Amino acid sequence: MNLPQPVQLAIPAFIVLMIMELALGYFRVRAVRYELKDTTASLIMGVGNLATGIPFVVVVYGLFAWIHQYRLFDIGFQWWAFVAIFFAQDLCYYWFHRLSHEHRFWWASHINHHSSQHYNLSTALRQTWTGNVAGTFIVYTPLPLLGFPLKLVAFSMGISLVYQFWIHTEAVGRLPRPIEWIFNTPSHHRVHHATNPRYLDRNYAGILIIWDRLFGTFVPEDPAEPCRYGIVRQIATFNPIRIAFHEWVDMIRDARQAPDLRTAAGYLFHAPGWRPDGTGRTSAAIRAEERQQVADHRKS
Amino acid sequence: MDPTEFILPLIGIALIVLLVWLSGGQRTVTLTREGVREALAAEGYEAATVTVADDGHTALAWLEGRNALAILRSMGDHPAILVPGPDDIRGIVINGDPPRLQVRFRSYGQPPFAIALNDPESLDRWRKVLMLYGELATRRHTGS
Repeated sequence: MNLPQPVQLAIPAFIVLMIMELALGYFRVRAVRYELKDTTASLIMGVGNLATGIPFVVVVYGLFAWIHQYRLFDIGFQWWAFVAIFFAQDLCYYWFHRLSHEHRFWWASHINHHSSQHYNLSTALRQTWTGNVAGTFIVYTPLPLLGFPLKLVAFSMGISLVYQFWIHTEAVGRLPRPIEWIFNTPSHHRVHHATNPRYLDRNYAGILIIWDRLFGTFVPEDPAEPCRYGIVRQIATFNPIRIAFHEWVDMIRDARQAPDLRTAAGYLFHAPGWRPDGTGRTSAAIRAEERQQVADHRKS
Repeated sequence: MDPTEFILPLIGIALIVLLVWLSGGQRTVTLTREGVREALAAEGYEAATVTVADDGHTALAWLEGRNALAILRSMGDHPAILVPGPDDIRGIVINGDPPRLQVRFRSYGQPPFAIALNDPESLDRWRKVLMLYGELATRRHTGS
């Protein structure tokens, strides 16, 4: 069975939607802001993501095909297989995304997606150049192992990527409650891209926000606390090379300068911001610091 | 493979860049004392002292109650704020006439920072503050 390639089909829609969003901001219909260097950097990152992904198509396809030989079930293209992979792929995405935030080795490849201080549709295209090198596709290996056909796996990953494009916008406010309860929406994803302590490392969902509700990582957007976008330590560059590799360079330098292997491994695999002396500004530490400040403020 | 699969997206990207430029997207924020204070306040910081470069592209602030330095740069239409710890800084040097403070960072995501400190008063003030980050000469990070 031949399935369409969702990303390829959606590219014209991506462009049209970005132009529409830009127009909404220009005519002040919505509070949307595009900035030339930021947008250009995001678009170059998107093109780079496609280019760097090409050599890995064979590697990933080969790995998945090899795993598929040992599949647990023979799943074809029945209607229920489409339903099942929708949930299974989205669950894998949740864990891929959570691991990408909670462990520096994968954060090094994902950080560039969060490096813009803007939040618009072009931010969606600010994609990694190094995700395949970091082996992030490993998280999806349960899909061929379960027996889903490889074309169906690729199709479901494409659908997920296309869905996640439109949620990178400030032009859409809150949607009706049932939709906000089930699906990842612009509101939920704004929280994910925010650096406000209470929003850090939350809302990892791809399509369904139910995973965050289930695993305790959901935080709703609070109109009283507008999102500030970017990363905890904002990078001061629009240079795509620095955007793509800065965390890799910093991480490898930290590991190389570590006094022993255990510390080096900590720099690689602990949470971003971790330091061996316990003074690191991880998301958990930043949240705790804010809680303490609030408590101190109340006391005084 | 159909070459239009690559050409059309590239045309689309060029169109978007052009439209962003035409719609005033090349704006650059000019830092002011008040703007710096507001930007820091939004991040939960209170500035005790602020020095802004004459061109409005860079600024330094000393944070009240934190004994920490904040470094601000104009990044398109946003100020980018960095509150470095001593270990984040690879070297600080003041040189030239008029004096120019230059900071180099350990992180590859932070290009070198420079700000002219034209008046002697602000130079003296920052010289004292920056002593907290080490000697005011090029200081290499040793990893210790």
